[in-house]
Amino acid sequence: MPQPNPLTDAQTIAAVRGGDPSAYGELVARYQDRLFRTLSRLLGSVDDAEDVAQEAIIQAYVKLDTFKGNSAFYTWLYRIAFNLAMSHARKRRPATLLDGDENRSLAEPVDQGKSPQQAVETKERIETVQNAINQLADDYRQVVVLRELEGCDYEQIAHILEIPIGTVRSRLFRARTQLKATLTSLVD
Amino acid sequence: MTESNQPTRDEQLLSAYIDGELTAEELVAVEAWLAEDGDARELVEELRNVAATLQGLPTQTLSDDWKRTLAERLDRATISTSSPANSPEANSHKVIPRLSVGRSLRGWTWSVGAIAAALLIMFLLPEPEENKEIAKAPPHATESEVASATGEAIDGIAAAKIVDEGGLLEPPSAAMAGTSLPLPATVPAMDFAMDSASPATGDANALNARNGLMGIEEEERKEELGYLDDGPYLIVWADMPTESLRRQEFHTVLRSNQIELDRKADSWANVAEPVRRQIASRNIASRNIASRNEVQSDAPKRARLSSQTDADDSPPIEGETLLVEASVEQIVACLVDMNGDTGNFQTITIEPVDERHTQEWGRARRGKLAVKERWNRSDKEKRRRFSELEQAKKNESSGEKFLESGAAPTKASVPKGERSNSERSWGFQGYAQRVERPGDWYYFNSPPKKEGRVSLLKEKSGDFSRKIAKSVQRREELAQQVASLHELYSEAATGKASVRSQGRREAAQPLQVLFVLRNADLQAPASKTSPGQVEAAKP
Repeated sequence: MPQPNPLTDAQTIAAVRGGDPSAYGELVARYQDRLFRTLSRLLGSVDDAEDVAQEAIIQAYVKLDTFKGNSAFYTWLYRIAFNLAMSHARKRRPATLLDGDENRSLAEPVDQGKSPQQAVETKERIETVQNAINQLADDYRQVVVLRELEGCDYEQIAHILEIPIGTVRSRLFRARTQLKATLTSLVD
Repeated sequence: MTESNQPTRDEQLLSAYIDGELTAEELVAVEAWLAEDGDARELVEELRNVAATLQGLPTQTLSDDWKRTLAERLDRATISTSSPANSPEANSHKVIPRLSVGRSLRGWTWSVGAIAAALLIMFLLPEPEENKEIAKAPPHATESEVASATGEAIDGIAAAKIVDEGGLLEPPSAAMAGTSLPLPATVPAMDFAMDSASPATGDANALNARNGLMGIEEEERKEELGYLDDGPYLIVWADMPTESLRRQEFHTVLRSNQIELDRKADSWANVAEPVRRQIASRNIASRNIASRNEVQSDAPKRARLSSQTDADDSPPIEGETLLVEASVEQIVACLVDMNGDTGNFQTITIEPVDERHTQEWGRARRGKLAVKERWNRSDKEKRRRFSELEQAKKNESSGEKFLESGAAPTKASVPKGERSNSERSWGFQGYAQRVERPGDWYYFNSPPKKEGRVSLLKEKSGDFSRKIAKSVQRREELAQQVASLHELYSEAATGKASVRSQGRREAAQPLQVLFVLRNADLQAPASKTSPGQVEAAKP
């Protein structure tokens, strides 16, 4: 049940700094699902997303004293997470990325209401889209995920990625164009 | 389609247009453009379709396991003394109440699979024939090892020294009383009886009370849990970085799983004789190889380690050995925690203890001590235990001295320390006791190779063993394996079948596991003394 007057992020952070570490749980609860969702598409792996999301939340907690409040907390958290994700992606072996045996599928759970044929088609569609996202360069994939999946506006994306808004615009356009081409070829 | 030399006809604007990210001036220009350019309209439609396709992707939700693991990690981050400057709670010594957040499902799945496979293999496979060849004593074999290899009885076998910590026992839960593995129906939802009711908004005082002296007030309703008379079931080898050993990260794992660390160390011969025999037998051969290759392969490494040791002016840490007696669920949870903690536990190898050794050991010591008594200590003993707990908290800082080094092992006590808030409610109190090893033991004794009944839970690369992964690759197989294990325990509990040692083990009995934590950058022997000499000098 939600609190009648939930604390803002700034108030919650102040509470943590003031000696109430449990308040950090409120921040985590606020953003963990969004962060995980975004990372799962960014990394193309649920397992990797879980690892990175957890690491980012831990790092944000440990480094909370360095958070200056110049941006929203989630922007700062996302920045940490994205840096970790990119680092993680660089270290990851290509085989791992494509190894379906070791990575849980990003496809939605099987809907009991769907026929087996429909379920298969849905799964294939999702995998096709995810593969298209995976084929994007890191820079493009970041902006696409933040925009389309996270719903960030250009300014927020610029803050998180620390790039100019004009760059966000151009990268997003190129990413979408590439996705369009990739999806078309995959469907064909 | 477009006039690229005109800024207002930049296709990027069409992308920004569908996002509503144009300035008023740009918007007017783009709308005029779209009104006269069919290709531009088509492109806008295509871009919208792309956006809609991505936005239509299903969302994933975080598992309770993930949330639980996160809560535990946050607890550790809070109480860790390794990053005082960074942790906002370090100075206040407060801990974060558990959050409603947990572990990667993959981690659980593979961990459970590996553990289940190891336990199953241990239970089900026939005993290997003893290799008589190993009776040949190598140059580095100790007298006792030679005796082990030849099957001679070891004199001076004392009773198990895992003592009742007094008053910390809680009555076994219904699940514990009935079966050791209260398993859910489906593997992905496996919880291993860990109470995940995490007090996300719990009262700090209540948590402290819970964490401080759990179960002392409830000792009157303590029930007898039975006793373990066959010695360790498993050996868990783990390679840890030096700093992780110094920080006693494994102790944190124990505490977080409600396993209390005994203050006093005991000798190897007293508490782990079956294990000692098995390791000694196996390593006799490897020592020969090690001694032959020592100069070529280890010289650079040793030089590097030596310089590191000189730099921090601290005694070299070889490792630490602890005998843990806890419920199966607690042991599993410890392994899962270790498995998920790549930074502190680089490799984990699970080695079943040969039943032959445990049976001999059980026969040898049976009758010398009514082991059951350790579960029924007097109130006086419990009060003493309480005092020790309090004293241990005060002395918590002296961690390093408990680690074994090339120097003579210390008899110093191990602090129980404060319990982590992340500890789970097992309904059972586990115990751990340090086991002294002579210097250089860790150098000359290593985990077995990944073959036969050995399960490699985690390789140094951080990846799970392919062999184990494949063996439990399908969830159905995993479910079947764990269900079989569950069945074995149930049958043992109801007397329908015997599981090892003529069915003496009851489901509610604790499991003994020897955790051998080796320094991942293990030092070569400090002296030229052979292990045999060391062993002889420090029986």
